[in-house]
Amino acid sequence: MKRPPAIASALLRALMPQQAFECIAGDLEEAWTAGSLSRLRYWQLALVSILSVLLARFTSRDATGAAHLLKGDGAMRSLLQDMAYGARLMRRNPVFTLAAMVTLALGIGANTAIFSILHVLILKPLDYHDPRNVAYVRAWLHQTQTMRFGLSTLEMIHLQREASTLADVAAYTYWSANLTGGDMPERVQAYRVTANLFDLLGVAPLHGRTFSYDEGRPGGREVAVLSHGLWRRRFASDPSIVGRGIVLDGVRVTIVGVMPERFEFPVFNFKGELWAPMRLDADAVLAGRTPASSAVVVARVRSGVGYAAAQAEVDAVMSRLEQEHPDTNRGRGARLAEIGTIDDEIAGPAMIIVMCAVSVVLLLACANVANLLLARGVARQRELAVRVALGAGRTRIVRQLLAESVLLSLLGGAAGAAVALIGLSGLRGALPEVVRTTQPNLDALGFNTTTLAFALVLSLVTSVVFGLLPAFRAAGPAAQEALREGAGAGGSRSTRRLRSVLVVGEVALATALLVVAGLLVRTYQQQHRIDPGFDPGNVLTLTITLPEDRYPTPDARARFFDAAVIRISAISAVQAAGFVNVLPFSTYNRARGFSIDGQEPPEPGREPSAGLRIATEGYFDVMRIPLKAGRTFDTRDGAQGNRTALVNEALVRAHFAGRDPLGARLRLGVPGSDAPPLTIVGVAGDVRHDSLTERPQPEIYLPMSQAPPAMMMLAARTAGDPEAYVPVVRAAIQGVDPSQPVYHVKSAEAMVAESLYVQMSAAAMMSLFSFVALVLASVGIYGVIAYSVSQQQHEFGVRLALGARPRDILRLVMNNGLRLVFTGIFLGGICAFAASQLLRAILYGVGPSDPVTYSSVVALLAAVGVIACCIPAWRASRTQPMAVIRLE
Amino acid sequence: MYLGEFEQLLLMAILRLDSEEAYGARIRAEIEQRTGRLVAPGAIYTALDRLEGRGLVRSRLGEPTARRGGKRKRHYQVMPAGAALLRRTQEALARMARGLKPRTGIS
Repeated sequence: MKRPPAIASALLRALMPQQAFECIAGDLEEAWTAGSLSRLRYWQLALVSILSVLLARFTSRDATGAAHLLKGDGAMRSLLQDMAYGARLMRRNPVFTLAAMVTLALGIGANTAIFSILHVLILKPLDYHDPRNVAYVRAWLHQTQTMRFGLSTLEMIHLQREASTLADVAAYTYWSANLTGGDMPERVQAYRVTANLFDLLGVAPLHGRTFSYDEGRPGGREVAVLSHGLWRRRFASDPSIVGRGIVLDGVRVTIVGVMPERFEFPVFNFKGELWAPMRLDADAVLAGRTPASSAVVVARVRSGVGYAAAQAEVDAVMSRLEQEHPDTNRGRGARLAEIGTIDDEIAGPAMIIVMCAVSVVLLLACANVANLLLARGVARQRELAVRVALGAGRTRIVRQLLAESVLLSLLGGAAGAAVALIGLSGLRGALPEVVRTTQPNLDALGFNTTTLAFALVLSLVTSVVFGLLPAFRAAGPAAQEALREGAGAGGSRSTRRLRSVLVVGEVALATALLVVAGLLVRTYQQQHRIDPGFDPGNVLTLTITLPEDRYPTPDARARFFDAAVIRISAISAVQAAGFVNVLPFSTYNRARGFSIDGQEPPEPGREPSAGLRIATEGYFDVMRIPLKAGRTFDTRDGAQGNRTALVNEALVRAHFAGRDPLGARLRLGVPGSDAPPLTIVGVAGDVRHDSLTERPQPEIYLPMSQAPPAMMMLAARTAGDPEAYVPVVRAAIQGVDPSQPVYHVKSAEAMVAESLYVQMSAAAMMSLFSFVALVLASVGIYGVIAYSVSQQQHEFGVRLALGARPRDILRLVMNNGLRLVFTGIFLGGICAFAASQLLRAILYGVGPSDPVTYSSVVALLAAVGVIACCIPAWRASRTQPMAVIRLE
Repeated sequence: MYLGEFEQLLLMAILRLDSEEAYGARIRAEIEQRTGRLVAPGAIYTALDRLEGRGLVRSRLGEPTARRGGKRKRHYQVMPAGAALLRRTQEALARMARGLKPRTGIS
């Protein structure tokens, strides 16, 4: 038989009157023995019981209410009385109180803030009906062991019809539409969704309705559902919007519904602002009359079935499809993943490190407060000894001291909650656009009951952690001796040793944290220093998508972009401007297959591919991408003229081993395609596209005039801060077409920086924590040394009177302190070495045992240790011997 | 003065149980089984303590059992005043609910 959670039982015993304890703990143990309580439940019920009893005692102070259970027996006075006594002590000793509270506020505040972030990122379920059973169904490619978001609509329909463990299956595709017909045209994040999506998620609209079955079939009405955000921003929360029309990509669409405020979908991509039905004729797709297309698929697992059973059925359906459609489905499987956990794969490891670090900070805070309490316990030895002599039991004294700790930590917790609140509001402001537009639940980041409850529970647990040891020590056998010995001079030897151990532990933890932080900061610096292959300084970028109805032909699109380049370049502060279909670090990328005339056809499965860039003439100048050979595009490369292309050095390295690529001809598409040949006229420098750390991939540049796409991204080099020129650039574009919106407006530097967001925030967070740890450790060192100096003043006085020089005293105290500091640094170094081996995967450009990091951390801690010891040591050396001796 | 909702639940739970069974853990289980409501023991005892102070219930200490880790039970019994107040509260609720069936489904 498992024993009930011991800490919870001890808490009950310590914080409750005897009679109430017997009833409550007895009931809990009975339920525990019967097996009807989980550990978590037990804790929850115990904590709620403690709170309700304390609250009842607080409110029923009148003598008339019987409240005999709560009043406690004669030997026991109320907890409140203990707390009131503790409060008086705290007022009398403001320095101690302030030090303990600031320490606790830092520890609890940091933990509460991190919990709030975790709560949003991982723990908080999405606002769907039974969100644990809503899953993404992603493609799994057996051969390369990789995951793809897209599934074909054919696969989706088969899953929907054949997997009985899935209650329903829906799909969506990204759309991103131009919304016109208001003061200012704008780009909205729209999605085409199957008509059953909202029912699958189990979310009802706030106004109007969602889509009918017929609207999700070919020929259905043009309708749309708005997000709460778009409705508020663009339509001023007008409740009569349902039934009204808007213009999307030039098509008139009727708004049929508005979703509630907390509804966010999808969760890993841009948050949807508008949803329109995806037209799907399932029977036609199954019969092969309509080609299947790619879509992101979500499913609801039937409740009570479980993911394992559902996955098994999905596997069966997918392997049957492999046999039935070997041409399209060979090697394709599908994996279910709970919708709320989709980000964990990326954020998980980083969050674990951060959680460990922030727990270390809390441990440090506890150690510091325990230290302070130990020191105060020594000072209170006489008081406690008198109490014991008058008949107070040991538990009685422990309880009184714990009540004081609880009071202290509740105050510290309140201050910590304030620290967390300030920290979180700062963090909210600093989130980059890519996080704000994609991370769900962000509105919950801040203060709410869950965070508050976490801070409260943390405070209570903390008070036990830091209070228990000093309390037992103070109430222990030493208490009786203290009375006999007279004035305790520096506490018992074991207390002093314990405090030294705490200081060594603090320094060790701070060392380990600083090393980890240092390694992460160096990683970030190294990555930041990587040359992306272009110059992002002072470059403004934005995206334009031309609607099909206004720009149906390549010529029309080319005319628009040419005119826009001319108008933007005419702005005096713009030095150069150009368009490209995909900017580096814009998160868009698409690889295209190609072949080179005159080269051996590649083995199946190893066809070469390259990123396809379509650029205007000025693009290379704007981005300062160097030309390595040949020439860039010019007017010779018109649509009618020679079809030409530039390639980058990575492509030359991979496919022209030592030969001259200039003049060679390549074709886009699979080998043997009849695409027109492109003559290579130049070689451009490599550009890193997705991340600074990955190797540059092969790229092919085509002149815009040969194949003008509908979506292009502008790069404009400005004379100063690019953000300042957004209005004039926007005006220039609207000068070409007043109904054309622009979006994703940001500087190229911000785009590059966002790619390092995870590394940057990990390094920043760890730096902050290790700074807090350093402060806490130095306060700890200072506290211990200063306290022992004050206790040893008598000894120093005698020494000085007997002829010791002040310098000797200084050295004596420094030696004592620095011995602790260096022991801590040494132990911490060992811990850091072990911990940093785990970091190997996320480090870049530095080894886990980077000597620069280690030596600077040691130097920093040694310096802090010397300073922390210096002040009390100097004070000790200035002891006036006569004054001390006369005091005795 | 009438009884609060939680107080009514407690009194009815005690009345449902035999006098040997009417102690904290069983009262808790009774409420959880019938209403699905999870209540902390601390909340039960503070409420019962208040009721005892008003003379509506009476309690006595029982025997310790091994399943409770050697801790004694506290048995509760509803006093006549408690039963009367419970009836008055229920009657008042019924009077308030009368005629509301078409709107709420309460019969």
